[in-house]
Amino acid sequence: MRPNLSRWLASLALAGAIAMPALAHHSFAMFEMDKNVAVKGTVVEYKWMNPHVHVTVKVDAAPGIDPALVGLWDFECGGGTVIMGRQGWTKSTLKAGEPIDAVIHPLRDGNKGGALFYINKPDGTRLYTDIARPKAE
Amino acid sequence: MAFALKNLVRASLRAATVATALSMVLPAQAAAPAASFDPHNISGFWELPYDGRNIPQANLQPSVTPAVIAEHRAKDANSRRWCYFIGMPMAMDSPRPIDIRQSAHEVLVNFETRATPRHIYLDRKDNMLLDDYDFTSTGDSVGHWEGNTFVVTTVGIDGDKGLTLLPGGGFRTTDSKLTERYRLANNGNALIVTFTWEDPKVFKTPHTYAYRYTRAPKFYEVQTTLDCDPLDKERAEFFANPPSAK
Amino acid sequence: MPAHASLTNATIARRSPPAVRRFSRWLAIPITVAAGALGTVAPASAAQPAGGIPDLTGAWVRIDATGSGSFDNLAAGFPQASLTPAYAEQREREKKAGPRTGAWDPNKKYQNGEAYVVTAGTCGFPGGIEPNSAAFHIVQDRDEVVIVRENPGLGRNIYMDGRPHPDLKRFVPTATGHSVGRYEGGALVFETVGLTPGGVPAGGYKTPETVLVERYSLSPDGNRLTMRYTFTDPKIYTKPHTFEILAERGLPRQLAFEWYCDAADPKQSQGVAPPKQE
Repeated sequence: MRPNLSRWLASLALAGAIAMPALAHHSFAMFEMDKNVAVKGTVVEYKWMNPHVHVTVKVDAAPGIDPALVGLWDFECGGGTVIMGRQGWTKSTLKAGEPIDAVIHPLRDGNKGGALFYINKPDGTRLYTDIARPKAE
Repeated sequence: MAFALKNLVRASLRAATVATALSMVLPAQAAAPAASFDPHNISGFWELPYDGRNIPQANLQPSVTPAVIAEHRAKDANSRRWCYFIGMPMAMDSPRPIDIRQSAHEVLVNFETRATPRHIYLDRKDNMLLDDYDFTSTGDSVGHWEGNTFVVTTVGIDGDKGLTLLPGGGFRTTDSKLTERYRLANNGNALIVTFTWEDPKVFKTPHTYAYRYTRAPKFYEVQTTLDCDPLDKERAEFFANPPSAK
Repeated sequence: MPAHASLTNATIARRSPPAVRRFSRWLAIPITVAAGALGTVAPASAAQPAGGIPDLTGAWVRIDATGSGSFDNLAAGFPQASLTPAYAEQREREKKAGPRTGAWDPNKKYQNGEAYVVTAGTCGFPGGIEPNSAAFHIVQDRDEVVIVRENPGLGRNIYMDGRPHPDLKRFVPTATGHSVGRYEGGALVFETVGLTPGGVPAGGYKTPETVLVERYSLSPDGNRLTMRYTFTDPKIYTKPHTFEILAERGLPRQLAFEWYCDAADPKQSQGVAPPKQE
């Protein structure tokens, strides 16, 4: 017996809401993914873990630093260890106490969290956390 | 004379190369009757039957006490409880057929259980372990042919990941080295694999055991993966306490 | 006969007499041997490709060739699915539904230290059809092409041995379905049915009866892979839904990574959690 339309629609309902982006373990809707914010601070903790790597970063008040950025941040990376590994990251890329020069997609509600897009390395190159690249400027 | 010998060697090598290439692509139906199977092609779905294990007792170091074994048993129980990837070697001891696929660059071993695939690289001789590499539950494997035997060496299996107790006694650690030897038998319908573990901290002498897989029926279809839900409460209760006779 | 039927090995197997099938397999031998002599690596396949067998074996990583700005937008440039009215209505109802348990709630005020997302992360194998940001590996054998991912997801088994699809009434749908394929014009072409219901990039959807045809073709230098996806389902689409994904070959002899998940660690199920401020 082939399923009729009502059974088919019921199967859609059972399948749940619209699928989240296939590239993340969960939806990143809480972040403004089209907005990039530069954050310079100090690494407090680098959690090389799955499903998403996290970096805790402290931004201190200093001349030239936006006061709104000062505080303790959680950066969630788009990928886990295997995704970031293919972009050049390892478990020892970041260390507590080291400076970090990051670009994030910030939380929509203004709290101190962001989706880490990439970091600028001292040699001028970038390390992306995912396959996504900036839009052409 | 030397020139003629060189040419003969060259011609033989050419013939061997072509023969090897032919053996890789010849379908079973088109093979000559004399060679009913290609001893260098282990591709296929392979089942481990109930009488497919030949496992002698391991010769363990005195430091491997019952208490040490008990620690590993508890750790493995926790790994089952939380559905950690099975890893090597127990992934090879599968209730479902294992899928071995041989290409020019690598041999892939894929499982229908909660185990990540094995990549056995053919295009490098040595195991490759990097300083910052995250060791895996299956390790880094390289393979080559010695006559009709496919020899695979594996290192870098993370001692903290997956099931660590080994058939016959003992356990694997991050320093363990595994050598597998694959050989077709029974007209290509059986695959005998010997596993040899070397780890001086665990074994007095290398520990060797063997599995004899049988080829799954033609057109075997991969089944829904035997997955594992660590958040299933009823399942968690099943693991929580020893079984009672009541 | 539906258009997709012409693509299956099974169809060819049914149409061709055994002698033709044997001959076509023999024909592959000189092609493969010649390719080996030229220094390219010929996969161990006995298919009968007019354009040769592409060497797809190895690690591949999807790329964002045009710059999407974030991984949320990687599919933004894909042509949007053209949906039937019945399905479009269903999608609207789904959009109006509230957030799922554990999902981010835009109307909630989150406190510092509180996770914005708490998933029911089971470290399971849901996976999907299209590659995500993790690398994937292709291995070509005569009878089967296998594609496995480096992060969770079922492997894809593409049968190349001429078998037909099973009767869907007796097939348990999976995230990767049932695939049969062949080589055509120098590309790997395969057809999949039996997929679990779920979303498809660019506003599409799939059910077990949806027919997906994929075409994997290589750039002339062999280092770029173009994967073209075409979903056909008259209940869902008014016309076939097609998009392309690009990938680049990983370094040769590169190690395969393993996504190791620990369901016992509550942090693995948490999304971003802004720390408590000092």
